[in-house]
Amino acid sequence: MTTTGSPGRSSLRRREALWGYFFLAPFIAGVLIWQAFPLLLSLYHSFTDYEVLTPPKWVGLRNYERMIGDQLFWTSLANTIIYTVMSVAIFMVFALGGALLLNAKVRGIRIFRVVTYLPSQLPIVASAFIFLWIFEPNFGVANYLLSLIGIEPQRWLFDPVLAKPTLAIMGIWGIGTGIIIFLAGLQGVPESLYDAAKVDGANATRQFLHVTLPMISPVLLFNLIIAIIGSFQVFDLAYLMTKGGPGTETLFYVLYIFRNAFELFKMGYASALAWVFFLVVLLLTFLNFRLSRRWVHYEVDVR
Amino acid sequence: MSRIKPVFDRDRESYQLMEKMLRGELSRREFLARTSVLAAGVPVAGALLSSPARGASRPGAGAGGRSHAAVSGAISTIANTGAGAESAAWNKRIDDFIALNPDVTVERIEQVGQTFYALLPTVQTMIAGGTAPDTLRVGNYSAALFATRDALLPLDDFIKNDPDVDFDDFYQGAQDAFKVDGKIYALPENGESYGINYNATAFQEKGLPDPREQWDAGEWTQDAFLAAAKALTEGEGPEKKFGFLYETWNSENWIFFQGGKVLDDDLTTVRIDEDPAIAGLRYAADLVNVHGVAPNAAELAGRPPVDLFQNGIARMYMLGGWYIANFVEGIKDWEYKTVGAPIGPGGKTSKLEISGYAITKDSKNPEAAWEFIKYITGPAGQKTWSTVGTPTRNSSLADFIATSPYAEWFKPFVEVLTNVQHTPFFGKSAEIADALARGQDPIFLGQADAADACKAMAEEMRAILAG
Repeated sequence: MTTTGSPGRSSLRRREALWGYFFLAPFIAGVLIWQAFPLLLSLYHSFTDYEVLTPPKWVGLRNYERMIGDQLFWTSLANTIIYTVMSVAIFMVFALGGALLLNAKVRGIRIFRVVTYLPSQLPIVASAFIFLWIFEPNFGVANYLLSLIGIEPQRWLFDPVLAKPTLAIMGIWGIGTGIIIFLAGLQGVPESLYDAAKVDGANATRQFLHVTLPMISPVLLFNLIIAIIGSFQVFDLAYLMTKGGPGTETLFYVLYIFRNAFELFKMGYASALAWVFFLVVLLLTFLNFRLSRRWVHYEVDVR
Repeated sequence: MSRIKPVFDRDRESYQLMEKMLRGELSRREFLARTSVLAAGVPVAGALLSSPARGASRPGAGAGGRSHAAVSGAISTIANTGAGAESAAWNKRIDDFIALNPDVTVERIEQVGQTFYALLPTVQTMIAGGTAPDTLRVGNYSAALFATRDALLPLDDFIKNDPDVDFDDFYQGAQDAFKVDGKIYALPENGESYGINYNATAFQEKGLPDPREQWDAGEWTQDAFLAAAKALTEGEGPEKKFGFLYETWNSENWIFFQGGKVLDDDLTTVRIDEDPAIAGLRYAADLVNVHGVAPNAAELAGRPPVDLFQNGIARMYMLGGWYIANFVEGIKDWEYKTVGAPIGPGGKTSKLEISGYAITKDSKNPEAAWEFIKYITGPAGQKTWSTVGTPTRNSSLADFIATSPYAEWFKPFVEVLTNVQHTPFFGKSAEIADALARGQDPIFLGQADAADACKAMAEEMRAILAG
């Protein structure tokens, strides 16, 4: 449809648009100054030898070429991928399980919902110290509980094999946000579908597999992508609790970027690492969306 | 970070009297008489008078006890300190400097409980953001990291042109510590060697010879040490008492004890894959994994090493001299003594942990900054700091041994200062240290043989040096 109108009306629209831009201006300025400019600057630095205290020196693709032969780059990437797989699996299972339980219609359910959500709001530093105590090899709660069932005390964060799984287990602390989102999805499933399934003879398990999961698949996808991106960015736990050890078992990718940038004065190389990280996460997210066509069901066709 | 207002006390009047004496307005006898009236002035007077006037071109000019030139304006200083006594000593020196230089204001940026290396990102950010501090406390290789990136002022001209500074009064190891490409970038503050703190009561109860006597007789060998550690280790599980305790972050000690090195001073030859270095790290790891006389990382988890030693759970503890005063004051249940590290093929030696003060290149008041670091590292400043650390001036060391209430415990540590060593401090020290810290972990975890791990570390270090 062609829009026609008097000059007065287009002048009004122009004024309205200008006012709109005027009110958007602070936000746009903020994005440009605090996000776009640093992003572009880091892209530039990724092609330089930049030690922060001296001016950057253009070196072209050398930082990217260096990554190929950098054993610690591959180690940190592998560590991050392994941690992500474990952490996301734990997060999804426990968050969905928690949401299913909290979807029950029982008295006092709101209190349970608040209690399960609160730990995810605790600052990461406080959580880290709590878990350091829980997984303390000599006097920690975890080893005490194991001793009750006859299992020998474990070294947890000091064991090269157990260090990553131990950090992944700590992800349970943050399932509150996932539970909230799953809960919203569960509450959007029409009861009529369950009634129809019961009429067809479906038990609880089949109802879950053939009604619940397909209906909440968009929410599953959302939580999955958020969990993957969040796990890939793991830094705090390793920085606070293990410093990348034992050996290099918990040297995660973002920790490796931090080390290069702030401890080894290699900001140029760190910038290159950061941009490769961005591409890896972008690729994973793209793959997720592509694969989601096979198992995510939308109420409206969004393809 | 904290910002603290300077505190003025009776010492200020003592310093002003000292000024008059140095200008010839007061005789030495009158000075002592008047400071004794101040009551608090006598120790200060003693400290001031113990500062020798070396290299002074003008009568009465004292090294570090009086400013060479009147300075004014504002400066800022950043430092890491330990909580308690160290923080108090750090602040006191600044107060004393301000008392002598009332026209100078000093902004203090103190990071309590942090290491020198934890300061690196903060200072980096400050310099990059245009808010560089005028002076900063540096330690070990942190000065070289900044100096090679053109962030610090060379001090050679300051030293040459200031008759109040006697650089030769610093012992040789301290003089060389902050030299990069032949230029001096920091004045040394305190230098600590390593030794062994031990539970003499436990030794007596086990009928073992006293290590200090063995040390004095040159008999405190690695074999004698290991025999004692085994005899002192008893029990199992959480109740286990260990004969020895050490921390892996200072593992270079074990390399030096064996006569080995990580890297040559020429900065081109990596030596960590040579037999002495391998033997040193293997010896240290065996204490944990083979002989079971020292706790592993998991056994140390959640239990601060100083607490394990003070509570009698570890009978010997290798550490630098910075905690001696705390041990003397804190240990009451048994007799606390000290001895040097076990004598190996490297002789009586240890790693040197050294701190100093530098001026940043972006300082807006380098003259006042120079007077500040000159005072902090001068005889009076080192006297104040000697309550928490070992001085780096020969004159201050002599005074320290003669007057410190902790002198008896410090003696074996000071004895080793003539033969301390460190891996060279240069622009890539952080990468070398990182390679060492990561590469040695498998040895101490019992996952890798020392020879294989040292070979891998050497390869990584050669790649670092090759750039």
